[in-house]
Amino acid sequence: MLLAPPISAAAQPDAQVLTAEDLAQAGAMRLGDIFALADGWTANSTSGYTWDAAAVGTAPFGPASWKVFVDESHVDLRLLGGQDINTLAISVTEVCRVEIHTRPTFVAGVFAGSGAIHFHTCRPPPGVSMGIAAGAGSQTGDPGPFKYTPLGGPNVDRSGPVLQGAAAISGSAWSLRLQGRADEHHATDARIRDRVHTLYVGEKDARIFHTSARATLARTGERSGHRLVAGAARSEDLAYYEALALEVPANHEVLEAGISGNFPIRPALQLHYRLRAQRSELVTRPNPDSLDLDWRHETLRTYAALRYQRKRTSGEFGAGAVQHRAAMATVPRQAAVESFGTVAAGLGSGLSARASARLQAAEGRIGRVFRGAITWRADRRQEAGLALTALRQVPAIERPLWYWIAEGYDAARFEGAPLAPAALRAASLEASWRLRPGARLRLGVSATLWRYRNMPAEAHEAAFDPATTGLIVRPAVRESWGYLANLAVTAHFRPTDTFSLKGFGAYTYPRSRDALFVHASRQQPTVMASVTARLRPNDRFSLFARLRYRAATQWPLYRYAAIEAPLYYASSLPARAVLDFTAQKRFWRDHMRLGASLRNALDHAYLLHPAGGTAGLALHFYVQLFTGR
Amino acid sequence: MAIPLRFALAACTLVGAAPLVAQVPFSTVELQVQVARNVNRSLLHEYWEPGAGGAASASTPFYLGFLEFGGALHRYNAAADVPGFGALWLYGGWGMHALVASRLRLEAGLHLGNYRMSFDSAGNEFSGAITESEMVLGTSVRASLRLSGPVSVFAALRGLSVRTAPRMALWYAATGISATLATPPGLRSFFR
Repeated sequence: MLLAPPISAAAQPDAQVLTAEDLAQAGAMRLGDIFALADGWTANSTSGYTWDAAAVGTAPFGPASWKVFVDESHVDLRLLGGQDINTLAISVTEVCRVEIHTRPTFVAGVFAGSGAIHFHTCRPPPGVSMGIAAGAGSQTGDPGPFKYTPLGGPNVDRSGPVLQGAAAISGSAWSLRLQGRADEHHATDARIRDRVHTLYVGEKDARIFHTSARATLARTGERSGHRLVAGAARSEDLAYYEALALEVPANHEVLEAGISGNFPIRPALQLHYRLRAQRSELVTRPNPDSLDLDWRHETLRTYAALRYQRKRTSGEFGAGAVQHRAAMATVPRQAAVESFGTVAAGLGSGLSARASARLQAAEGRIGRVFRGAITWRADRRQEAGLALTALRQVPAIERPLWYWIAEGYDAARFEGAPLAPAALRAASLEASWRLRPGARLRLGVSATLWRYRNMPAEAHEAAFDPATTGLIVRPAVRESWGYLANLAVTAHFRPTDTFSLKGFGAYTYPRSRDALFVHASRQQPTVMASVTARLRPNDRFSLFARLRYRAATQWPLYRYAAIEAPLYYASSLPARAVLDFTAQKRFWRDHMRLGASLRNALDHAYLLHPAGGTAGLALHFYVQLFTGR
Repeated sequence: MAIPLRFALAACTLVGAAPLVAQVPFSTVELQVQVARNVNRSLLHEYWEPGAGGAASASTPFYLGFLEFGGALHRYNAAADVPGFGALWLYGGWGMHALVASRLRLEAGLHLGNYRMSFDSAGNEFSGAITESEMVLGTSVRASLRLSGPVSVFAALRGLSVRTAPRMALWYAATGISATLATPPGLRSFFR
């Protein structure tokens, strides 16, 4: 038997789990569509394609402080302060399960303090199998025939086509899977069109074009398993960089290769190993402003651990090293060593406990994370938990954008930025309670309190540039501090076997006398709520509806631009309620699936970002074809 | 007023269809052909004059109500200094029906689709060189009278809201003939 990692979604009931079926029934065409399904996550976008997401109630600075994992491997997609999940070289149709963490967690020895999204890819079915999927969407509001009249305006955003394909061959103990994706997005909203046009040479329309390919060779025995992965992804052209408050035409390429697996030592003891290399490169395309963001970051990560699992105890003890190399003459090759340990045990009388610790050393400084949790299960209907996390994070280990700037990364507009590197200290206390009053009803309440000290925070201001309709940003980094309290409530109700309802609500309260902390916290909504309804009369057909509410947010960075150019910028995003609706049907046994989604079905236009476009009613279609399953 | 009236009409018929006809999903296919005429006036008609239209569709019983897929061609001639255009409306929809007499059936449905408009270029009607597409939300009511065996005649009223800016609000009155056939086993297996 292969031992599961001791910290999994099953061990963390706070994690939201979406299955492949959930994603298909909700009409997800892209990985970024997951943010619309994630409870307690907020996401903003200037283009409708690239999302700056964050788990509410966690660190308000740096939208990319959450982490992405694919099959237990940490994939670092961060780029100049952002993290585009659509850059991953996997397709949404290849995802079997997604675990969405809003609370601090460890995944394969890596600590994710501000939440994590963990993709688990599917194991191919026996024999030869193939699958293709295509989807496209369009926001309403094109001028149609009125473009020939004084009444017509410009065309609006178009999503896709999104083309995804996979082929696999699988035996009893091994499998080979190849997959690819091509995705196109046209961001033509009037609010960003002028700004973006000034960045292109000629009359080219703003667009985003993504291509990726990935190969996975896996061998799975009764007690051992090994997986070899190689992938490449390329996202061309338009991307918005929050740190610049500006789009830049550039190509972002990510190359990855890795091997991981388990060797049995004893029936309850295994050796887990992981070796992964990644290169992330940004190449700026010609643009009239001669902006140059060229960047390359190579990472080599190794990790080995002993995992054991007995009846009432499980654990993992490992060590590894990370080597970074950036394409800057001033920064030498750097290495960090790390160790990780976790133990979970049943204590009797319904009590169980888990303790995890991680140490990292880099540039002569030590970073450390400790997390302890205790759970009490009164009976099958009721469970309560308490968890404590404490961390000290040195900049050389996490390498945020400002760290690279301090080390000499002199991209346009960053030059001369005053910096004050610090080691983040933070602690959180979590309490949770879950109740199952009946077979068809589940309730959950959780509360988290974070305390942040020495928190590096960006304190930039943006001024409007009337020549380009863009912004000129003067970044600065200084230490900040504050408290964040978060209360979340969930309710699952299944009145019949074919119909289910899920409700979610969260309230976040920031507290600090540091104005920077308060301002940054207000970029996250204080109140979020959602109701998800699913009707599935049989396994061939489903109706899915999700109503999301998000309270208003404030964006002081854009306040001057909003005054000078209200047609292009806003300093606040009003509260909004968005209804998404999807119908899907299987045909031809399990070989074909058709779906149609109405996104923002209430047709109440809302801003996606203070410097972004407007989202209106949109129609999306998708078709999936499979053989060999 | 056009949209609320349209949906109210469909809602009333759906409620009226509560005593459902017993059905087996995908057991039959009803093929329909019809001619249609645009009968309303809206902002669009200040610039274009509607011409003739025709449609073909197929419907089949679903787990509840019925599914319908179809396509229609609509023509709009220039009434001002604008190019005329032809429109292809492709849609899928769902509806419910009720027998109100032994041969008379009432239906109401909701549709979702795409309106692809091909604009005339100078001196070349229907050239299709310039196109625009937009989503359509629609609804319909239909009265169908069975003549003999599988053959029926029907009259229908369809409302379309093409989600352009400004919106195109269109009402089409249609009449046509339909034939209801047993679904071939292969097709039935595909649908299931």
